[in-house]
Amino acid sequence: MAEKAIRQRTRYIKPRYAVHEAGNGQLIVRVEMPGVGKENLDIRVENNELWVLGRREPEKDEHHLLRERPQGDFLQTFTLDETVDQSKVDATLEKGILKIRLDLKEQVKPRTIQIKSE
Amino acid sequence: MDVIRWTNGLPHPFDGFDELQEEINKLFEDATRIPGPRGIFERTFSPAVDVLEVADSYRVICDLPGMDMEDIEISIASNVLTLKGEKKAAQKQESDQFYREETSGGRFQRTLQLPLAVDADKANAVLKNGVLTIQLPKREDVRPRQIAVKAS
Repeated sequence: MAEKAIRQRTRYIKPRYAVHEAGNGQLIVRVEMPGVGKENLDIRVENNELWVLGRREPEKDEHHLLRERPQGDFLQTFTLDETVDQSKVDATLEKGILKIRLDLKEQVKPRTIQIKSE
Repeated sequence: MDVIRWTNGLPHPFDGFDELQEEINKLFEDATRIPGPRGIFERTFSPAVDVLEVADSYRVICDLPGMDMEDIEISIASNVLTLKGEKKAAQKQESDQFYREETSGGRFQRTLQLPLAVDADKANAVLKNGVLTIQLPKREDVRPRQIAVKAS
């Protein structure tokens, strides 16, 4: 998919997104994709990259009086480093916002070290 | 957690220009399209709107991701449509560490003037996948009518 997108040199819309690390050792990515249904979403992890592609129905060429909304499909890529467990990816789509949960590997989660008194 | 373009083999000399252009556009959009929260309207962002003319009605489409119908207020006066609402920011915990945040919430208000008066009673609004679609039928008395000319 990655190669295809680059080769075709299609213009994609870059969606607005937020990335944060929750206290429970999860990395949460929220991507705003208004107009994208569950069936038109393509999420994949390959070559240490997280790909999010949201397809939208192309609009019929109707008589527009005002046109501000960007047309086309949404595409965003995220580079994942070795701290992310790539086998566990969980995604939900609600109200046009895609939420992806990625687990961080155990060793990078903050740990508290107990100091024993001698 | 930066976005790095992945290329297969040799990078194309113009790769990244599109992306750069996009980023610059976004920057200007943010700077010019979002009026500060001052004046009579308190607003923090301005959602993108499409207005279409379809036969005997207007269709207004607005991108409002993350919003519920009860967060949106639609009012119609003659030919002026006002969209108002508040986007609630996602709940944040103190332990959350943000790398990037472009999806914050806030209030918005948009006022659109339509070419002809619309029938507020027959309007309907649907919110699906974060896109609000409002169908506004033109008022009967302002619709252009075709008058058949009879040959005498």
